[in-house]
Amino acid sequence: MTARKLKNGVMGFLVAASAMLLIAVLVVIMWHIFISGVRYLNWDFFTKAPAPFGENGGGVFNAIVGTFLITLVAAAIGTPFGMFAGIYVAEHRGHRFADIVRLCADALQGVPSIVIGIFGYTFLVVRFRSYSALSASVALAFMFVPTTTRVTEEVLNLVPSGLQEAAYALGARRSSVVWNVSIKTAAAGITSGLLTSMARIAGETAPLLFTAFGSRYIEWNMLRPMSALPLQIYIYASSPYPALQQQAWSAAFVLVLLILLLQYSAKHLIARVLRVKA
Amino acid sequence: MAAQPSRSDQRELVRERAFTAAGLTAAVALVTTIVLFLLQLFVASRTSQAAFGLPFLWRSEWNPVTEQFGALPMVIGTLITGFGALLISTPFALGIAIFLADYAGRKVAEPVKYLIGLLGGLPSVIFGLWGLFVLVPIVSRFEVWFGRLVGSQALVASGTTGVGLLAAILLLAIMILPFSASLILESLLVVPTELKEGALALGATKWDTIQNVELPYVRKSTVGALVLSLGRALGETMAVTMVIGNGMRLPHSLFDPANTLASAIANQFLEATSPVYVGSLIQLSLILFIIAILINIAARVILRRGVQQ
Amino acid sequence: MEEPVIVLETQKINAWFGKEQVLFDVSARIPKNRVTAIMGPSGCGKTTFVRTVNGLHLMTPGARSSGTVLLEGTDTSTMDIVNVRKHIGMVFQRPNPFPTMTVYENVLAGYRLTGQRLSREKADQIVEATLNKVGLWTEVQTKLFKAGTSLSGGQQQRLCIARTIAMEPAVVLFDEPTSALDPKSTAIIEELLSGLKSDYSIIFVTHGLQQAARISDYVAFFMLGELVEFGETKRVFVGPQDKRTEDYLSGKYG
Repeated sequence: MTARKLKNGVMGFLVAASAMLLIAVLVVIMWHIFISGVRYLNWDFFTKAPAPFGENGGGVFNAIVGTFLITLVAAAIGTPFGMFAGIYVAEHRGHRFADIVRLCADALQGVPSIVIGIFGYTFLVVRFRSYSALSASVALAFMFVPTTTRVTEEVLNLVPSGLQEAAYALGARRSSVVWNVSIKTAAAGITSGLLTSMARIAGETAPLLFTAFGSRYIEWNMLRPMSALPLQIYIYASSPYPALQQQAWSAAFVLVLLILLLQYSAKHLIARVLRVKA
Repeated sequence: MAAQPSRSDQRELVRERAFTAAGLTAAVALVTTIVLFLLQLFVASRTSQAAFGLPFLWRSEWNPVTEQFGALPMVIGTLITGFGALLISTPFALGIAIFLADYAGRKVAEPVKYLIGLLGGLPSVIFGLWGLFVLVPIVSRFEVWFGRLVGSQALVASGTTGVGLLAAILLLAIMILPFSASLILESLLVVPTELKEGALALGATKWDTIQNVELPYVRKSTVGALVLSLGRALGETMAVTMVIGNGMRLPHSLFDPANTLASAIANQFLEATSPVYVGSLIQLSLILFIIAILINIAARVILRRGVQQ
Repeated sequence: MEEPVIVLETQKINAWFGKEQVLFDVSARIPKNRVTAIMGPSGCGKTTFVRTVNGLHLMTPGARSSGTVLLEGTDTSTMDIVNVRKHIGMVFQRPNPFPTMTVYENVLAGYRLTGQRLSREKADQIVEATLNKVGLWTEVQTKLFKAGTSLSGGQQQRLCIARTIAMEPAVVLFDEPTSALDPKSTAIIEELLSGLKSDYSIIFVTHGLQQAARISDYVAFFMLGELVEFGETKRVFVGPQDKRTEDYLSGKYG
């Protein structure tokens, strides 16, 4: 009797301890990012391009611009494909082909990001003979589509069938029912999913290594190589200069803030905005 | 009654057709993407296939200078880091999942779940950054101490840098922990309360119930979750790349620098100049792609059988 | 006795869900500008019948039907189902205003969903006229631009009715329109049904004998998928011709 009770107590303790450990690890990591990152956060950091080689100072504005552009374009490319694929799968539930589509979306989601990067390189960079931000966006779009498809399908299936029937009963065609009733009703969930996916791809590095390649200059042209925050972090962290390594921490800080912002929007703002409208 | 189609009817018909076409196009595009990936990678690695043929998979030499390439060191590196990370993180993942499912009240569980989500959402490169500047020095000190402890000069030597398999395994374990913990938690939450209450009513302690009722119930889905986590670990790139040391040879100990399939590509692709070098790296990505698909299939098969329970 | 004008006729309607047959040779002639009640015990096929008329039945996976539906003389199978539904509207058991649309937009939902554009004036006109017809205008005049779901249950159902008649259908089908409502709203809607027959032909499914007796001009009694008896309500209730009808009226079935 006491042996079992002892075991119960010990296991309870161990279980709580693992949770504590996880929190501890998280706190340690976030702490480092904060402490090391804050040190170099100044106005220059946000507004200037990297300093010329060997000089101190400079910033990561080029990377910030790059992250915004590449992420937004990737989302712009991936959203229609993802949503329409999700609509297709939701509307054709039970059909063999729809199952295959879902399977392929899952498979694509499991493809390692470096493989996506290599594909982007062989398919686009080689073909057009230059590194470009656009090829990076296309590569990221491959990562954006599967989650968008799944979210769209799941949220569409949650729309009450009574609403769809009422729309059909009024003489609406399927496309009108899906778009004006189902999608609109599910809009909050879908947008939230889109923002979450954007948060994910904003942090990806591997697909950018051989597509966007990186650049020391502030670049606005999608057809040229461009920097991005994760890419810049990697390059600076791997460099032998402590000043650049410091900037890597600060850039990491900025990236984490950006991702947190996107995730927060996904959760709270969307629900609030759509509720206000009603 | 059957009137001529009005302008709005015609518009609606066009919209209907366009919408249906869009759905079908997206669906087909998704399916062809996978096939396209496979074909493209296959074609782009021709040079390496021509040079080494099938034996590439088990050749152990990877030498950019002599242009002799083989995938074995990377495959070994991938397997060791993947399984090693899984081994280390699984007990903790189980612990956290059990804690959240059975011990934590709402007030504790919600924030903890949020923190797990936070950790899981951190980009790989940031883990790499932390790993490189915080974890690696610690690992290095440990390795040097351990080498001295067992009196091995070799271990001390390879341990001074800190980068290598051990650092990669530890970092990877931290990275897949949130993922496997939340998957296991999901399956634990499905366990019917009646079963748990039934056990408690018979006089079982909380842990007895967990051990004898809940865990067996979720065995299949837990295995599925672990397989998926392994898949995640095998595909991890940036963090591993930054702490594994870009070793070109078969590692002899956990302290040696090494490479995984992913990190080799990330570390070397931009410096690869000759066609055979590039082709070999692309072949590595093809191998990685196939492994990822196989793991995905394995996880599905396991999870489907688990659901049927 | 005057032969009523027929607005909707079904000829030998059979319906199946997969292998199970739920309607057997249902032939009915629904009079124009009257209220026709469809009554019978649970599971007798009343709802399925009504859903066959406007084509919703076939939207269930595995569902099949045969037979002809004539709308004002025209075979509906020769028409695009989308057009059929513009002439035959349907109000459902659970009020289902579109949550992403305001009251105003809900009334006009049929136009928007079928891509028909309306001028602002015409739109305002239709909204006011239909809301008046269902007795909602004074109640929701100030709430026109709030969400359709912000109204009470009874109001929501009247909004759904308004939405349906805004399309000026010839026939309006009601599938147990009051069973999800409180008694007060039920009374309001029953009165509304009688009032609507001057402009539309009403067919409503009910599981309550009393409701059928109260407000309908004609009644169709279904049992186990068959149309057992059809006729003027007074006549059927006072002197049923089929034994099954008699048993139902005397409360033998649920």
